[in-house]
Amino acid sequence: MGFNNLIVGWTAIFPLTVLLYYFFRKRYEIKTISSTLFWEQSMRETKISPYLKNLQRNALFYLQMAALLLFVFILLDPYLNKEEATGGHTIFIVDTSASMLVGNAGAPLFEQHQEAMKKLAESRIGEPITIITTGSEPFIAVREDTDEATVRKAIDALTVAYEHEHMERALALAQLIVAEGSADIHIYTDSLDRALFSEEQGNLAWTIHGSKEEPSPNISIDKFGAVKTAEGTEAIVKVVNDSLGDQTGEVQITDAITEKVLVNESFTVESGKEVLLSFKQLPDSQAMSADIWVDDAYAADNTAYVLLGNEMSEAIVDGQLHELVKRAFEVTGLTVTTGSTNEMQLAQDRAIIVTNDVSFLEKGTKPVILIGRNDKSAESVSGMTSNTDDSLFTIADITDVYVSALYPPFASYTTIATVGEQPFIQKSKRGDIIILTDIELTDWPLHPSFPLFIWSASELLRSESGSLGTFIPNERRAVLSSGIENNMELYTLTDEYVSTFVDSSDFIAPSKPGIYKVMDNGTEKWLAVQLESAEKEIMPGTSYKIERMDHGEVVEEGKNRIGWYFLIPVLLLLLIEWEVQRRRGYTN
Amino acid sequence: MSSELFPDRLTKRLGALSIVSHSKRLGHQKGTHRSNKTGSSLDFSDFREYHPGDDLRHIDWNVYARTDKPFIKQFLDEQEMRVHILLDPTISMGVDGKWDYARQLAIALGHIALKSGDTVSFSTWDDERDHFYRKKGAAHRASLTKFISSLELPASTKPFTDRALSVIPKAVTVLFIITDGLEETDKWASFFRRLPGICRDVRIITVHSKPEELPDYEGDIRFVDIESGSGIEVTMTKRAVQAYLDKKTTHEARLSALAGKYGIRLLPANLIEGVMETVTKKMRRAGWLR
Repeated sequence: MGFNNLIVGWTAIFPLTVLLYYFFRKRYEIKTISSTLFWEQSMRETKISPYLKNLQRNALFYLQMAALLLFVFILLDPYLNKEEATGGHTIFIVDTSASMLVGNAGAPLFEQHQEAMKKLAESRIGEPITIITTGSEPFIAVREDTDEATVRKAIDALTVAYEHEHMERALALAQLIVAEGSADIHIYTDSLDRALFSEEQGNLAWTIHGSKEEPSPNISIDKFGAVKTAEGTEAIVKVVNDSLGDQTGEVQITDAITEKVLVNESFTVESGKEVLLSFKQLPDSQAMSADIWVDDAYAADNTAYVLLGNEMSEAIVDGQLHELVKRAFEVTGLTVTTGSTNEMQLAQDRAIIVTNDVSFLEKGTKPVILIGRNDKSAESVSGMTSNTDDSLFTIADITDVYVSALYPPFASYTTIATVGEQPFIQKSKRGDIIILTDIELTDWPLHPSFPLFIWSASELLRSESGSLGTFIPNERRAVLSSGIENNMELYTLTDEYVSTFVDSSDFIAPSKPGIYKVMDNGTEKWLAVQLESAEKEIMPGTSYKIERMDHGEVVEEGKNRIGWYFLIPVLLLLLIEWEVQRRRGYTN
Repeated sequence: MSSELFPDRLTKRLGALSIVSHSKRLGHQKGTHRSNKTGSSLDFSDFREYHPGDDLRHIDWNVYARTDKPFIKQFLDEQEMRVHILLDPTISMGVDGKWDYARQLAIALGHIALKSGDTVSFSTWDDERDHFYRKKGAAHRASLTKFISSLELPASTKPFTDRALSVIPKAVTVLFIITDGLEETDKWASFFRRLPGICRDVRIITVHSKPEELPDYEGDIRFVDIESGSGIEVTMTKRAVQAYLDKKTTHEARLSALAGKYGIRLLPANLIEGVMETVTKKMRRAGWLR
């Protein structure tokens, strides 16, 4: 047997008081007199208050009552919702998405939450605290740390990551951390749907700290696009008004690299409506930023960026090619359609063309991917497949691929892979990638290197323009670097160093929206970081609690609380005492 | 025993006293008290004209000779008084020497009445039976003393006012009630209401002992009522005593007021004064005795 709560031993003061009461109670001398008539009357009169008299007469009873009730109370193992940790372990889940920067007046929500967290952490000194930040990859800033200074430092170090919160991932991580035992989880966010907590989580108490503020006025750039045309650059800005009143502001489009203001225009947008602003004949530019100057509470979505160039996200696969090719392109995440020669010709400027039509090598301005040749026939070959150290093969090694037959090579093109002595894969000066075989003539599609090669090829074609594309904050996406051993270095537009990536497949976009410069093997590429559209809306949410602290059944094993069983004798004792008091009238 | 309770020397000191009563209801037998009616005593009262039907023997012929009109000569009537003494036998009377004092009072009053040749009845009771005594004439003084002296300590547990009415005999001229008055005024009120129907001249002597008059207890006391047995805890303080005295005074004042309402005379008698003092001075001053 043991005691779980030795601290509450101080309540022994109550039985001691009762004991003292017994020792020091009045001893009355008995006198028999003719009549107590007058004494009774006079005593009735001296009663200042009937309640006080009652208290006096039943002092013992009340004392015992109080002691016993407290005893019962202790046995109930009470806890306070806020001030006292429930499971001992406290987890802060901190929403670091861009919408946390909303601040109607005063500090942004994020800073308010930081203060709240510090306060809560202070009240739980000595208890383990874990801090998890949200994102597509939730991050554990502090894990079960009991040192107040460390926790405080970690809270101070938290920054907004602009990335969408992906709260369910953070919740899953938190549940993993507290796989066993119980924890008090505090979620600091702007709004969170209760439906997320529909699952039974018996040992966890959730407290959601939402934004307490009224819906903030918000104007955002929903979409910003720019395209190069023959007459110059056309740009479209879509402005959405989420606020209750009409808003007037100014939109400004800037060349993000030279910081030259290209155009400046004022606009008015009605409440709940959106407005499309288009600009034509803008000067050529590699990257543009659009800013709106309005009076709203959320500044992060007032700027948008766009990279100009062939931002190709579509691939058109020649209908004559094998279905596997289309599949391979689909796997790389492109929008793949099957198209005829005409369609391919029309779309050549904006899509990756995959064909076996040799004529495409001459057409258009953009490179294509040629698989097989439609003007020659294949001849059988034998020998080992080998590749050069071209960047296409950085992640896809094709040495174990078997090829039964090859088409004749193009004489002027660079060979980057061979079968025996025969050229297998070639590259044109324009950047076309030529695979001199048909899918049916090789077992390559069975190798994992096939989709990887396709991905590398499409990335190569897409990155020709010197742009890495648009990223969402903290997005992890492999990019194709031009060399194998070169590190990719990331700088801001003002040439401030951000980070270095040794392996191009580990590339993680920066968190703050903006245009970034990537130095890759001496070449300069651009990259834009853009807020997700979900982060452009402000969702005011409430704070609430979901508690499923189950104490009855699954409390720590080996510590079965026997206190409960004493309740019945306690109540019995109480009844007996009461009865004795009632019958004897007084204790003497 | 008896000599100790009421020595003869005390009887002598009562010698000259007699009971004063203006009650019209007297006994039928001849006594020493003048009645308002005309009667057969030797003392002349009045003349009045003769009316047919008057007793011819009472015509004063001397007056008739002088005035030529018949006149009746009337004499005063002397009749005995019926004195009843009722002694409160409740247990509370047995405390603090009140019983002895009350009995002495009863004997003293009895002696005074007997000496005047009146009929004296005495009644009290205990839980088992009533005690009743009635005699007339001075010769019975010793027997009254003996009767009262032989009474045991009071043991009646029932309230005095409930029982008292049933033991009072009929046709009483003067009714003396010796009690301690320690009952609720409500009970006294109903008792008093019915008393005038039994006797016109009721005299109540309330007996008060010294501890009752001025409690001199100290510390924490648990008072137990000797009759009901109920207890009350009191911490003796000046304030508690004052409250007690206030209550007692109020009670007595109310009792006195009640008595006055029904034409009942009430005399508080204090134990420390002594019986003689009470009888010879207090009662005389109150006009009860002469």
